[in-house]
Amino acid sequence: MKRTTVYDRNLKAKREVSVSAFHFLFSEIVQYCLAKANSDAQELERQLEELGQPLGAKFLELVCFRDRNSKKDINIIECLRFIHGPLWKTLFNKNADELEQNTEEHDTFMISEKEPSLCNQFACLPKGDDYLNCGAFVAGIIEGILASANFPAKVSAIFKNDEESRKTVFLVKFNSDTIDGNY
Amino acid sequence: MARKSSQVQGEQIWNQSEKVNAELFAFTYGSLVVKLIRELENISEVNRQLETMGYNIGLRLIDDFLSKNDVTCETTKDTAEVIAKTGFRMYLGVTCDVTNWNADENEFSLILADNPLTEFVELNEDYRDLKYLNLLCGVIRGALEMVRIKSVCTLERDSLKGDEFTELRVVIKEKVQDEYEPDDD
Repeated sequence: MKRTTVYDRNLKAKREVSVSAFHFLFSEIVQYCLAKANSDAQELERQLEELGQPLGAKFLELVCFRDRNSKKDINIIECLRFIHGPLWKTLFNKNADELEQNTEEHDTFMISEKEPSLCNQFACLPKGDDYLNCGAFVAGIIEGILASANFPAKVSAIFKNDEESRKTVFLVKFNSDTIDGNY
Repeated sequence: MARKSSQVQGEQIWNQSEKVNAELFAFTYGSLVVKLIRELENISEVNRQLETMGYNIGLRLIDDFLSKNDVTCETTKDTAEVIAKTGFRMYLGVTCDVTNWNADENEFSLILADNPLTEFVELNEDYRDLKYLNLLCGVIRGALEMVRIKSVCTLERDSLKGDEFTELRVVIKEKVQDEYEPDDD
């Protein structure tokens, strides 16, 4: 008998698990990385990014095949719109709140979330601008997507404190040669 | 009024709970397993680490579980039923079957026909010793320990390795009695 492989699966079926299950798993991942990183916040963020990256390639393919009839964007802006829209919807059941371009540096874009993202929801952190952001995991996913769409970029998750809300901004900075050829 | 069956209860909590894309969950777990394989010395170390992480989850998960459920498990059969029909249902959205009881009724198997954690997962021949789902074993052990049941849970059969279904074997070692008598007042 021929073994069934992942390629034989029906992609249409959409499944869900309880958000608590994800939180339990993610907090355990953060614990593990924290121990690995000797409690160094930057190193921890780097590890979370690294964990997120492989997810990017997988989601890019999955969402393109499933929802967009194999259509993949070959333009930077379109690709960012795709992340801001359909991809975010697949991951978090909603579009990202904002997508902006930096007016001074044209190779820099920002995707922002007003509410604490899935990964930050239960993270208890001291107040401050540049402290650990567990959204680094999501930043890793975005970086992975852009890398496999052939627009290599550096993505980082940062907090932006305005008034009371703690907004997470995913800062997308494209490599200089990416921008030159495609923009 | 008869108490709701564990199946109905699991179903209700599932319907009310907030959910997240199962693929995000499965890929995140996959990414973790790959990281562990890279960083730890050998596969048995990876298995052990996954079990420990599951155990830590179990210790915390039981509070969440009991806060959402009204359960009293008098016999081991009740316990097994609640794990299979309520526990798995409310977190992973699937239920499993309880079978293969031993004569003393302190060992049973949980049969998982379908499991969101293994979505899009294939195991390479080189990793046939990897217990991909050891995290689940740890969760069960940890959660049971918090309700004073000492147990051992192992991955007996694994659909990733060509078995027809996944079987988790739970062995109840000891039910720890309360050390202190409750106060009179």
